[in-house]
Amino acid sequence: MGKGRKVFYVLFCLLLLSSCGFKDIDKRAFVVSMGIDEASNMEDGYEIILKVAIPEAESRKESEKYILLTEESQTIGEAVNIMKGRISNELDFGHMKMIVLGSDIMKRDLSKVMDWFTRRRDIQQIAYVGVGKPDAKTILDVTPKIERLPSNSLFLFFGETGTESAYVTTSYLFNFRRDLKERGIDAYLPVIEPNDTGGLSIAKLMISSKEKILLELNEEETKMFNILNKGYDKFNMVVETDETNYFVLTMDQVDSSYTFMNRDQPVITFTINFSSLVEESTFEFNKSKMEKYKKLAEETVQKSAKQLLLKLQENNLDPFGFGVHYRSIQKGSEEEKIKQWDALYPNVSFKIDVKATIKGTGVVE
Amino acid sequence: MLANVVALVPRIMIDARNNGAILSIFIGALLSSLFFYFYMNILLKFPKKTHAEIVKEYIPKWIAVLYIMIISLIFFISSWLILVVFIDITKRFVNPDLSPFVIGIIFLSVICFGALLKSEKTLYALEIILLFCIPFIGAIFLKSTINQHISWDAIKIVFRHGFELPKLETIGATTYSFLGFYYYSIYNKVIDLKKKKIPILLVFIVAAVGIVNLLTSLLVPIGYHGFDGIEEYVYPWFSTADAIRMELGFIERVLFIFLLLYVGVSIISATISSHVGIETIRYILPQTKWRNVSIFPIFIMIVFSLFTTISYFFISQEQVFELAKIYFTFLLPMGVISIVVLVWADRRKKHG
Repeated sequence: MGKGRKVFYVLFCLLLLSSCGFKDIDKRAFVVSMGIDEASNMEDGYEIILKVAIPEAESRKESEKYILLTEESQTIGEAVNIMKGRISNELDFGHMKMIVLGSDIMKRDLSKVMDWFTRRRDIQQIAYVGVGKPDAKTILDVTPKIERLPSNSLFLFFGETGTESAYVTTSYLFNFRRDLKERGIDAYLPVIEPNDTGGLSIAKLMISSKEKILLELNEEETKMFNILNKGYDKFNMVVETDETNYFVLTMDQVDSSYTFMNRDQPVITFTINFSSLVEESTFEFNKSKMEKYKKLAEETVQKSAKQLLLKLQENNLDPFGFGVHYRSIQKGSEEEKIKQWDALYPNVSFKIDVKATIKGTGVVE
Repeated sequence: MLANVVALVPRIMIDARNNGAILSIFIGALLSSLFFYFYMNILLKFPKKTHAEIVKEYIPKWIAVLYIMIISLIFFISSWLILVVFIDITKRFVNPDLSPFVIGIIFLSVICFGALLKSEKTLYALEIILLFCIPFIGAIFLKSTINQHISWDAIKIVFRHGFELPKLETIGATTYSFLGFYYYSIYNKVIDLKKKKIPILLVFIVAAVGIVNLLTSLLVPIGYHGFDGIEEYVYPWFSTADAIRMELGFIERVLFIFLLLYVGVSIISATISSHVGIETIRYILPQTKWRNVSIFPIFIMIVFSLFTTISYFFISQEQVFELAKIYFTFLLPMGVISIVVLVWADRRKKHG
């Protein structure tokens, strides 16, 4: 036997040693989503809800079976550990893609609540985070009719995997944590509510500042936020021409960016460029009046954008991260910049430049 | 150059994000290019000879022995650093139930086997691994920069502080990325470039690739986890890989692909480093043979393996981090010293 072969045999034997530690798939219980609520009979405690999917052999059958485990404890880790004793299979968090925070939990110091999630190695940083209303347990217990796998419908909402809506804001775990830690930006989360058809709806946004100020935006504001923040281009807009007449534009392309001028008395200028098509209207379109319609559309966007920005400023919230931008253009130590920015933000003035193009009137004139 | 992600380089640079990180990358690249240019040119004057052979031949014996020992130790530390960190990463991210001892044995058995091969064969292994890994790692790096959730403002803050006076350890960490050309000290024996001088263009290409590589490994984690938030991550790049979503990839979670690729990269880096270490030190060891196999290289690898696996239990991660800083700082003077020694050898060759 040659030397090489001997070494190979030794290596092969060593590889066999590594087989411990891995468990078969049928010995595992996959947690698909997790909720955190305030404990009802404990001060400062958590109620942890785990939604565990039960895999079924037949994939054709709609398998919507799941178990909802709940446990109350002072810490998240402890609650999860207690639950391990309540299920015969090993809990596996590797497929957990949704974290729902109850609206009561939002009043706590979120960076402490989220600590468990970033510290655990098996939790995906690309899990989605959302606020559950009225609480997380209600949301996790909802089984929409359209759902084929437990919690799958909730996943499809986000990241443009399923629906593409301007009202849905996607917040990943890494993204949410970053905004919680970064000085100069406030974290935001989508609000998940059960609707009357037995499903879920997401159309609102909740912003939470480091000083624990909470603000919930309504549908229209949420839409505007997504447009301004990411240049989201799948939205419609109603433009009123007079009391009774209106037309609706559907966006084709949206560009939104802002510039920061005058560092001592900052003026933030948002530039929004969009091109659109007419989707619905109560009157026939007159080609000669196109300029007028364009102007009306521009004014509508401008008005609602300004309203949103002023509302955020009033509440001293900064989900766009103007503060981070200020830090990136200013010299000096980081602590100083933050102090300066905190003093500056209430006095910032906003300017909104909108440039609209209406590319067509749809299939008909 | 790729292994720096494992070898704590991003973390050292991230610690310096408030303190001239960008400048240190450029200084590091400049210094390394200079070292690279001089080192290679002198080495090319001695065709078919390893660095250690040259030193042994032309330098007084006691200096040569000391010098070779230090150089070889540097290569072994480089290998040790990658291994200790990667054992910890494997334990943390792949399977926390696996004993580090077992992980160590698995890795080291491959590495010992590789390091004891002939120099040509290690090059073939390197080629295969790189051919498999580089396209994927490149794709992940590229994918990481085109994500709408990345915070460009946080990255800009780094540039605000980028040109302050950097610390020596940061510069050292950046030069670690360019460590690869020192390995040529051994491969000079097997590769014949048929050139008297290396082209300047090559130096520029190496410097440019290195700068891009270092900027990516510093800035992308900051973009993902924020200027303030990145501080707490022990392995910034692995947490960043976890934050990249490849919707239509084979696996949505990039972390696992990234881990798999880096198993390959770390093992091959550690193998090559140990191989160069052995080939350097064997010239000052007795050439004892047993049934036509040299004993001492095997002996050294066994000692190295034992040391690595056992040291994992005695050194905390924080201490490894501190040691890495010292080691990186030490690399700077060593670059100068090895060039001086080579110039000296060249002079002695000419004058008799």
